[in-house]
Amino acid sequence: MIFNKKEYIIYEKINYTTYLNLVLTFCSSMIAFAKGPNSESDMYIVNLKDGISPHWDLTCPGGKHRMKSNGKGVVYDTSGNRVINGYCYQCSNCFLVLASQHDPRISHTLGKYHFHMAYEPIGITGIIINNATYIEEFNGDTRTDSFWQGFEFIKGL
Amino acid sequence: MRKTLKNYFTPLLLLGIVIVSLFWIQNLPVRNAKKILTNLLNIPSQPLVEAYHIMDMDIDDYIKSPHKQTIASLDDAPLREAYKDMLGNLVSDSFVEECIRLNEIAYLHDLAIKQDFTIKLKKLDILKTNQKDAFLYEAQIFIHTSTGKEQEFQITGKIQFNNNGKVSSVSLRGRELQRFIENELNET
Repeated sequence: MIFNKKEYIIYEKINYTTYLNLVLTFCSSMIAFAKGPNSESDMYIVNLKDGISPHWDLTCPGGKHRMKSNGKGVVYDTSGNRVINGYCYQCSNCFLVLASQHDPRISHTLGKYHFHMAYEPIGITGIIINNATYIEEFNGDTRTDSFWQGFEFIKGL
Repeated sequence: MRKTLKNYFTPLLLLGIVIVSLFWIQNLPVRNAKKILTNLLNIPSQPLVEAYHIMDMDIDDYIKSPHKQTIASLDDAPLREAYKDMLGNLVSDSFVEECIRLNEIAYLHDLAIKQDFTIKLKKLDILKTNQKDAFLYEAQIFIHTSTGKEQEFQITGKIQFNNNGKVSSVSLRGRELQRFIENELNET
């Protein structure tokens, strides 16, 4: 390729930015892996301080999770007990799955719930999650809670 | 005179048939809307009760199976069959999918099966809108819970048809009904 001086500077700048982006992406992935994934859910638990309960650090490439209704959500714990027989939502951007006791789109609360990273779209009828190592509970209002404001619950299709 | 009447009889009969057919065709969407809403708002529908029962047994079998994985999708065949039994060919595939994904009305069916309550449709009025392919509805429903509570509610919504004359969506609004269900859920 033949460039004039101005073009060459721009070309060099772009190359430098791409290289910098690659390095930054690599570093951030290494930091994320260093925290250690949870084998059951492939998500990361950040223990803040002693006495503060674990906090799920969830990020979505689309920003706010666009949770589409996906039928029923059934969750079994490690002892084989059905702990949730409720509703399933999946993020259309990152495929994060939420199974909850109550339907957050209709009741605006969750009751017992469980997250699972599915990495691909699941069927429209719903999901069975086996050997869930944790079950969380939320009885507040998803419309006003700061954490749940990062989730938008919408009708599927 | 008799001959003249005979001459006019056939054309008049044909004209009558055409007028009745036109009237029948014009009212077809309203009749279909009534039929669909009647089947949707008598809750829970028997085909759905059976389909969810089959689904429950499938889940139990899967959990007992030694080859189970951490995550599995549920089969949609029993539910598709149930909605076909319930609504016939009057609804679009996308509407069936919306129901399987649990839209507002399907949510009520699912909840009724789980919480053991019934809803009976008492009165249904279909109202025309400016749009040719959409109607509004006003319904009076009667709810009976497993704990013996009984109450009447007014609900409203919109029923939308697609270009093929099939139902493509049904919405449901009922604040009092929602409040009642929320209270019931909190109590259980």
